[in-house]
Amino acid sequence: MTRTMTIMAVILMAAVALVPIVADDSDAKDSARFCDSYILSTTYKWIDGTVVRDDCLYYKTSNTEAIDAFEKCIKDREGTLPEDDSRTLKAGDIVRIYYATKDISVNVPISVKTPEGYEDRSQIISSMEMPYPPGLFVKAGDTFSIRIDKAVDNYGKDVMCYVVDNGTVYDLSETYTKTMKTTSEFTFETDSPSGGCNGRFYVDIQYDSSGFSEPSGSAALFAGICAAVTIAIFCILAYAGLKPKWSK
Amino acid sequence: MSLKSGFKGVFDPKISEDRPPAPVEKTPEPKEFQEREESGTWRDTGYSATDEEAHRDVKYSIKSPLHQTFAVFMVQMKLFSKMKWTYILLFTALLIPIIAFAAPDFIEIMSNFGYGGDYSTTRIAGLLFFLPLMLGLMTSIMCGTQMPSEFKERTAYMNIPMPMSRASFFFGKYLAGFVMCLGIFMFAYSMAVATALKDYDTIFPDLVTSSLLLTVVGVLAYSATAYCIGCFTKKGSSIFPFALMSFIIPLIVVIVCSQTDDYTLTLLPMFLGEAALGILGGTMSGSAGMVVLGSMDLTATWLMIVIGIAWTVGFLLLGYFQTQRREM
Repeated sequence: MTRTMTIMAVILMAAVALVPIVADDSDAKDSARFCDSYILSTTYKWIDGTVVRDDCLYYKTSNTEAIDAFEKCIKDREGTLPEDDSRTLKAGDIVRIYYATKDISVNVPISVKTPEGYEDRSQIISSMEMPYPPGLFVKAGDTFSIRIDKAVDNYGKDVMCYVVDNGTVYDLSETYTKTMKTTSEFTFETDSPSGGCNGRFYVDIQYDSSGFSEPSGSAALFAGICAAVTIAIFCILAYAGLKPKWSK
Repeated sequence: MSLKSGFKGVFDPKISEDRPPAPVEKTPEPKEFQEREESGTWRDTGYSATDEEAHRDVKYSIKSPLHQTFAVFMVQMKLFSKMKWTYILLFTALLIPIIAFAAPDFIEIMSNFGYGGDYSTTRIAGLLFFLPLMLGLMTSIMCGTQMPSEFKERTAYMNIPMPMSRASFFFGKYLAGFVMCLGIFMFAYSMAVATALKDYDTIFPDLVTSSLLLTVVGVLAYSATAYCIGCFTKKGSSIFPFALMSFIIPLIVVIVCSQTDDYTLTLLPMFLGEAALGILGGTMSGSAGMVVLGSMDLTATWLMIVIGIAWTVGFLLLGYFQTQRREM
């Protein structure tokens, strides 16, 4: 019994040690999409004369196809944002307004044009999508280099990407190299949106890089190995709790 | 002295040299002895048995050191099977998937504070957020009171006089504590990886393996420390080793590191839990060492493992020395 368990433990440990060698593989992408802003949304009853900032997107709540396409684009990081319904809106329509902002908490700025002037009808956020940074993963001890050839936001405007390292600003349009002491996601900063926008829905980048890693091993296999070791240990515990034949 | 004889010397039961001298056996007269022996024995019945039937060929001797250690290990495991803490700690590990599935919003909120979620390993590190703290707590509970309770409950006075070396007694109990803690942490890892499977299919196997190794060495070092401290105390404490390893030493190290701007001291075993999370890409942990997590040099994990093993050996030898010289 003890011998069998010892052999099983050795096989499990060997599997734990060998699987990474067989399964590990590093790869680098040449394009990515990330978001540097919070995406806020709210619903609003459209009124004649409503003026919403042009960096907001709004869809009729009945237009579920467009809303689904928007959500998919933001969450799955692929496709383009659908065109908004601004041209076909009528008074009384319920619309969902999406707003990209660098601030974590703001009212969506809405104003209504009345004979007396503009009236503030700003709406407090009702849901929120966190910004997702560019996912470039570096393992401890690895040296990576990156050069961002092109960065364009959802408005089609160029975005400047940079990184601040020990107080020095490095423009990522030129090659940036670093050796990591800890395992972490490499993130970089972007400049503020131009044209009065408060945020961007996404930024597409094309880059040339090396030293970044992509996961490639089976999570299920590891969960299985850990579970097997746990079960083996608790079998010993159960065996010890039985009539102590082992003590003879 | 060869290594083999030295090892044998440690594990073989020793008889105290200051015992009273054995009484001198008197040899009876041969003829009288034979007559007395043969009267009223089986010889009168005519029964005869072979050497095998009469067990004359059986050689009775003290069990091997490995067998003695195994017996102590199993006895301690049996005690663990009756301990409520075993099941409480297991339930703690079971909370990982429960919280992740029952309160997904909590995970989202945590992402604001650096809880990584873009990669499977950072998610696993987030799910094992309290690993460094639990390393100290669980090993203290399981190993900190093992030896003192033997003396407190007087069971040591029955166990040690048995044909068993003190080394087997000492290491058997430690091994049981270590294996028990290891089982709980492996359960926690399997729960975290399985929970991460909900969102991710792939992981970085080398990083998870490194993290597992660091945790195993962490369990070794923490449990050896708690066990050793227990050997030096009469009543035993689950709180003191926990406070020492999880708060007192880490806070001193954090202060020294921040003052000198040199983080070499984070190679000490008290930061193995943080390193296990850091190597996965975790940026925060529920422990005193979270302050230095970002400044640790995780390229030297092999050195941390070596230091952890050396720490374990040192504390085990210290505890063994104390157990050997303990008056019974």
